[in-house]
Amino acid sequence: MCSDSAKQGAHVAPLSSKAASGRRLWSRPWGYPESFALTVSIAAGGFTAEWLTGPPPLAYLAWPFNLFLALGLIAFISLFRLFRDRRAVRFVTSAPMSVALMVGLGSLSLIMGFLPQAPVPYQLPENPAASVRLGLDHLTSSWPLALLYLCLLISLGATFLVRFSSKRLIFLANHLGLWLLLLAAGLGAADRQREIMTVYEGGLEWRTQRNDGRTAEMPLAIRLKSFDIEEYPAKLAVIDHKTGRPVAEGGRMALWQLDPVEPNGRLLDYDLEMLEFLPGAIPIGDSYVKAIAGAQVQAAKLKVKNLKTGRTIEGWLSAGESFRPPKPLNLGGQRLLAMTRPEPRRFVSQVKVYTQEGREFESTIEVNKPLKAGSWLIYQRSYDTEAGRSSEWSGFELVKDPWLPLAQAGFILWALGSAGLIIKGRGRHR
Amino acid sequence: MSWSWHDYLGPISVILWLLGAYLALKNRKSALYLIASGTLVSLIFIIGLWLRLERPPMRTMGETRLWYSFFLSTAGLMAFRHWKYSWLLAFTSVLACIFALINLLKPEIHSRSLMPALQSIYFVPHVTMYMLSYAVLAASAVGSFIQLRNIKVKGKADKALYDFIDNVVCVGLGFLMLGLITGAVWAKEAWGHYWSWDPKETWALITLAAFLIYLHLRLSSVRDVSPTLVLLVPPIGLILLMVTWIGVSYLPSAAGSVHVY
Ligand code: HEM
Repeated sequence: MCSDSAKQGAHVAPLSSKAASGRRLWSRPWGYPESFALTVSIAAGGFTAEWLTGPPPLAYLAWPFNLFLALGLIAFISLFRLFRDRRAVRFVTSAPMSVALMVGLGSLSLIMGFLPQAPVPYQLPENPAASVRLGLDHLTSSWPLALLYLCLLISLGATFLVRFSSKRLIFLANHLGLWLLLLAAGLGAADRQREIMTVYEGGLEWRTQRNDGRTAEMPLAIRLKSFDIEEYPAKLAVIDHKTGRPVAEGGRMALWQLDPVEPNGRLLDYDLEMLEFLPGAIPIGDSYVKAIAGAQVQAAKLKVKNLKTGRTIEGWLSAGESFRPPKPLNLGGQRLLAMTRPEPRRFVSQVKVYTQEGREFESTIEVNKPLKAGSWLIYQRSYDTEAGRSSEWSGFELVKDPWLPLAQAGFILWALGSAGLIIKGRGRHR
Repeated sequence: MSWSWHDYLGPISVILWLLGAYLALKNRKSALYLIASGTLVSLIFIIGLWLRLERPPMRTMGETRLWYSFFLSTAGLMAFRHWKYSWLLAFTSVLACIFALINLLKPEIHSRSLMPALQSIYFVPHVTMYMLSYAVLAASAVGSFIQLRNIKVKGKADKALYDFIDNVVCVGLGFLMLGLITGAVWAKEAWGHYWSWDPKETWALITLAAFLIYLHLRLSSVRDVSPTLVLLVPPIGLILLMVTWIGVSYLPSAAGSVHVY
């Protein structure tokens, strides 16, 4: 796999041999200095364009213009294959060029890594500060990134074509995979659509809300049959009456999580035993019973022994929700045992989907389990957090990305290439 | 097996690893057995905790440290079988100890809950790949330091060590990229898009770029690029990697990141 570099005998050469520092810039063959000079110039050009004209109008790159651009790009890098013996082509597809471009893009990413970035699509504010005018708060959709991205696409694609050889499968999989992915992610950006839809239980909805307050009509409609939250067993904390705060231990809030399998435990100076656990309950007087339907809360009956005083008490606990007050257990000595708000285990929307073509089907939508409907994917996104389990609506995100298959092909190839690198390593230099 | 078991099993692993590291530096064969036993103990605890929690123990920082310790010492053992570098075995064992010690000295709240977004078939491979790559790439940085010293002191680089560093970077990069790919595919399923410039994503990309730069720099001859410069890249990459793993949460850019825990 490393036949080319082995030939150069890079690591056998004595280290004392001076780098060819006497060489003048732009004298051939071009190498690192020229690659970096070119990359820096392109980035500088990008920043200048950003300063003078604002962010690039990437929205114009929508279908079918991005397709034309992609085809143009492929035609352009095919020329590199035709003229692969030219010095310029060797320069563009050289290791120094790839290093310079990666350093360039890595540096832009480093800025993004430190400075918070504005969400896309980006709107330049009135009277922007100098850093904003340079694009530092929206590098993801700025001229310098767009230009270097394009250069990387050209160089990477040309490298792949020029160095194509059926003996270098790992090299090919990595470079082609990354290239396809970058192409789909970059050129497909303007075709990606995200819409937010809120549906009430029992209701039917086909309109989405945009950020600017407008609504859009979707080629599909969703009826929300029900929305449910399943919860984890809650955690208990001891609250100090005077401060109203949970008691800490070792700098952190002391917590004990209920566990139907393991009812015994310890929290601070208390021995706890869970006598009963009801994931969905309704209060009756001072105790709780299993709920059959409707608004419900988590409740547990506990036996608590104070290890210092030896006193034992028993009682019901519940965290309460918007419509139900919490029910703590008084431990005496200015202390309460309280149930914290249980954490959600699953959000499930039962839906019926109607498409424009007249198809209809029932399904569920959960976090991590989007539903496919035609060219759209429907994601579980939000619910009424105030109401919690009795939320009457469910928020969905509808996403369409026509370039996804290309990106997926890229991911698969790249993953194969990665596996190849792990299995083969770099080999030994001869 | 709950976290309280770690108070007993943790120190056993630490002692086995430390003794093993010491013996490895003395070139004793018994080092291998001690380190392997320490690794086995840590694996047993991980499996026990997994069964107890009924979810993969990969959510909290403390849990990922368990894996990091385990993978580090495993990677050290495997690399030793291949490369026979005893300093490497000692290094990975000591590093594994450090992370086990952090877990002993700074226990964190250990919750059983796993929020819905983390309940995915990609969760385990994603974290595993990253922990594996971190372990392997850490070794490449140490190798680079030793090579830098070779150049300074002996005036000559060790060719076999270059082979080692290059191979380790390739393997580590492979895992790093698989971690990134599984993460991206998972993001598509959880949030609708495979890349959204979340700060953790951005930093993972920067880290990836650093090690890719090393790989491509090594394709040039020493006449074109100074070996010292090239050998500085893996240590810098390791620093970037630590920022990605631990530091991101403290950066201004991380407000609102989905990865902060
Ligand atoms: C997914 C990330 C990448 C991986 C895993 C990767 C891996 C590799 C490997 C293993 C080689 C050595 C091939 C051999 O010796 O047979 C190589 C060579 C090369 N790569 Fe990459 N690379 C990646 C991204 C890039 C990028 C972004 C560029 C930018 C243009 C690039 C440009 C090059 C060039 C110019 C060579 C030299 C080819 C030669 O001399 O034959 N690579 N790459």
